[in-house]
Amino acid sequence: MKPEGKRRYFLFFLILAAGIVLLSAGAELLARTNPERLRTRNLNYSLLKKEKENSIDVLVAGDSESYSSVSPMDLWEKFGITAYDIGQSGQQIQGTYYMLKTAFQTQSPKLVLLEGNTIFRNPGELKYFENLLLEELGYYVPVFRYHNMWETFVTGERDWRVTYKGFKIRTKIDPYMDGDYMVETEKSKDISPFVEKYLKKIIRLCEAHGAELMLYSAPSPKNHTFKRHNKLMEISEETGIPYLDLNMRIDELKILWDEDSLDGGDHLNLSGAVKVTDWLGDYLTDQYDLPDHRGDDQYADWDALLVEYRKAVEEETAEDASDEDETDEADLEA
Amino acid sequence: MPYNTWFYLLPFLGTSLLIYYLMPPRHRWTVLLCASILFYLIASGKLILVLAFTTLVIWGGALRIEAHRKTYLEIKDTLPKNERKEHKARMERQNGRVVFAACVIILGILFFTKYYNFVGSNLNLLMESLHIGARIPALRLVMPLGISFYTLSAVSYVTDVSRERCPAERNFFRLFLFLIFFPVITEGPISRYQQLGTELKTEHRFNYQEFCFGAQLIVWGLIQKVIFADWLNRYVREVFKYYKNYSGIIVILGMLIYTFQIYMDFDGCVNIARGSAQMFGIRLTENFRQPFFSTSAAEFWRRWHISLGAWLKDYVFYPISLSRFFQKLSKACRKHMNRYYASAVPTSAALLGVWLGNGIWHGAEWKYIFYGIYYYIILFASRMLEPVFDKICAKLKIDRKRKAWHHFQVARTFVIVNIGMLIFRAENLGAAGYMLKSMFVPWDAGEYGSLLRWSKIECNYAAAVWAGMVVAVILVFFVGLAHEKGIRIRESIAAMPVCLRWAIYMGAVLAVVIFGAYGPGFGEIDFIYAGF
Repeated sequence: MKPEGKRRYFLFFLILAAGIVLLSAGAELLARTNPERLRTRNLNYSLLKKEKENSIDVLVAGDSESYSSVSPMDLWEKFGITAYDIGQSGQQIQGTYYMLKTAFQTQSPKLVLLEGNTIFRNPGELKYFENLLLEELGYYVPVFRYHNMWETFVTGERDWRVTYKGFKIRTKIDPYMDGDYMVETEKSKDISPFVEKYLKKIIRLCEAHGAELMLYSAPSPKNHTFKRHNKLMEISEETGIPYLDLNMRIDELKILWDEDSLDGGDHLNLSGAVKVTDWLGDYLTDQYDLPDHRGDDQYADWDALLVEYRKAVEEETAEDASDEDETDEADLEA
Repeated sequence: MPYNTWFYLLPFLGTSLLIYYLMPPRHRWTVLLCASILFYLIASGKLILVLAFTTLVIWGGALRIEAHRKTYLEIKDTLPKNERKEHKARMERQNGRVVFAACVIILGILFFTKYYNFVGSNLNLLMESLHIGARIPALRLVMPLGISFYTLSAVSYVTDVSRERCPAERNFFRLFLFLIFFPVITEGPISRYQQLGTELKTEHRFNYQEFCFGAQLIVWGLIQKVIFADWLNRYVREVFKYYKNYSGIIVILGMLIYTFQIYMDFDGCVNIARGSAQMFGIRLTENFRQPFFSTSAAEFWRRWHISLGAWLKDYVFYPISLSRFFQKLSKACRKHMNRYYASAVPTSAALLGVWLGNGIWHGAEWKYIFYGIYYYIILFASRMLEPVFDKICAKLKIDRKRKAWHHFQVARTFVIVNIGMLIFRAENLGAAGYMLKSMFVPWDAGEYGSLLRWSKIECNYAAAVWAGMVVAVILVFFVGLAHEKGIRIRESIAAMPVCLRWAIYMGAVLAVVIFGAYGPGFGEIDFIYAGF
């Protein structure tokens, strides 16, 4: 076997790269035209890109705690704010970064809400790097992200779940019974240097796109602690980014743990999310200059989706939701 | 860092190769050492010290052995003939003690980390049934990466130095590299110093063909692992985990698919390892040679996990057979039995050690011990009954040279191997028994629907995926057949016209990118043998 020669060698990799680029373009197109073929996890990337350009004012980012706590359709109905849940279950900080980068390709949000649970994820440096590489590959070469679509095309299977601007209607109730979890302490929880680095990158990314960033913690007795609260306060003081801990405002939010918990205090269910959204709507309109788009013809599709959302909520609530296992597989990681 | 992650394949292997070939050839081994240490630190952190200690033991042991030999050789010529023998025997005794001590230490670490809790829990059960109050506490032990593999390599090194099969290595770090070399640390092949040590010492210059062939072997290994093996994992996991729900054809399919899965998983891993090493110009030994073309269980084990079988033969079977007790047994057999049994009985007795060793090596569970015993019983029975089979065949006038007989033997071995694999994979020994029985209970789809429907609901399987699986089996069969016929596939492809050749290479890479089981919904599925 003789060396192919520099030119041939170059040509080989050029053709291979072209093949991968072509496949990526194809995968991107298929993902856009057939979102129902995507795994739930990838769905957000595709649906987000389908949103009308520059139509979203608020992005809600983070892991499953983020999309379990804010319902964009309620925010729309009551405040006219256009928001989108771009969180993914078990999302790590580098995932949040690339999800935001994806969002900024087509949107110019005024505000990014970053849920704090993702900041405390620590699967070890190696896993961070491995996942970072996958995120990077997926971002720049989409075939690495959407490649599994072939399975649903071949089998006719669906991993599809209807979402309303990234929000899933989950009505199941599994109460949290263990009482007060915010026990005051002066200690704070450490975070990985890798997370710190990516948090800074997220801050810079938001600045570069003119979006304000706000940290918040969704009510979650299973995950949140006072140590985490302290850490996020420290970050807020260091960076000047506001931090809102909803776990300190449970009474104000009117959260009842025997009604509003989806899975024993890990995530909020629909009723919990609506309570948080109602409160947050007031807070956001008070603190930020967010336009009310209700009545604007440009946003008529939001009203149409709202009708569907209301209908779906009615149907879901009517069913005996407790029979269903509504926790996503990957939520268990959260 | 599993070999089937993009992180291993792109940044880790890529950077290591780049630095390796930028270094002058005589320093290249240090790049491999640094990369291997990094690889190990990422996987096992501080436990690298255990591996370093094992290296220290065999390094010191081997030097001591060589010092004893040197002393003997220095005085040998000055000694009268009758004293020479005595000095030699003394030197051998001394070396035997060194080998013994080294093996006790390094095998002790393996036994402690791998078997302490298993032995403890079984002793606790025994004491409980004897109404003894004492209990052995369970410990949370973390096994250093690759300990089952590198310990065997370490034993082979120190033994081979005493057997004068290889010289003692003076450079500690070279020996350390032999044990920690990253392509072999996860799943072997279990290497010998005279092979891998020599390869690692040789100054390798960039060889285009070796580099390309290595890369191609990695791609083939990836196809085996992330396409063939990992997609089957869902079916296998379902059937073996919820074995009580299934019977008949579902269990039989579960067993067959698992056999294919573990073959693809293990061979795939070894091919990625061999391909990675080959890109550095280093050849590793083969670990599989078309095992499913075997005509007997004994032959299967000469073709499957070759490095383990060879190790057990050299370092368990021979020492037992050559021990004084077995020499006496052999003598006694020769006195009282005919020629055939006089040779077969002691050999079979020595094989018990090999098969128990094989079973225990795979893990601290009764099912693995039974797995070893299962093969022992089959091999023992086939050896003992061989004269009977000969007579039966003669009476039935079966022509053993005919192809049909050969195919029958292959099929018989296939069934034996599959039953073994079922025992190996079952949740426990009880589950294995249950599954073996349930195979004979017809599958009543009941609430699960038809096979295909069931597959769809429970495992995301459908006709097309089953078809894909058949294609995979056929492809692997023909690759095996080509190897059996001595066709070197990579060389044959290299000789093809450029368009065809490139289409194959690119098609393979793109197949891994598209069909590979990675990303959301998978997580990379661990290599099965990395857990042993």
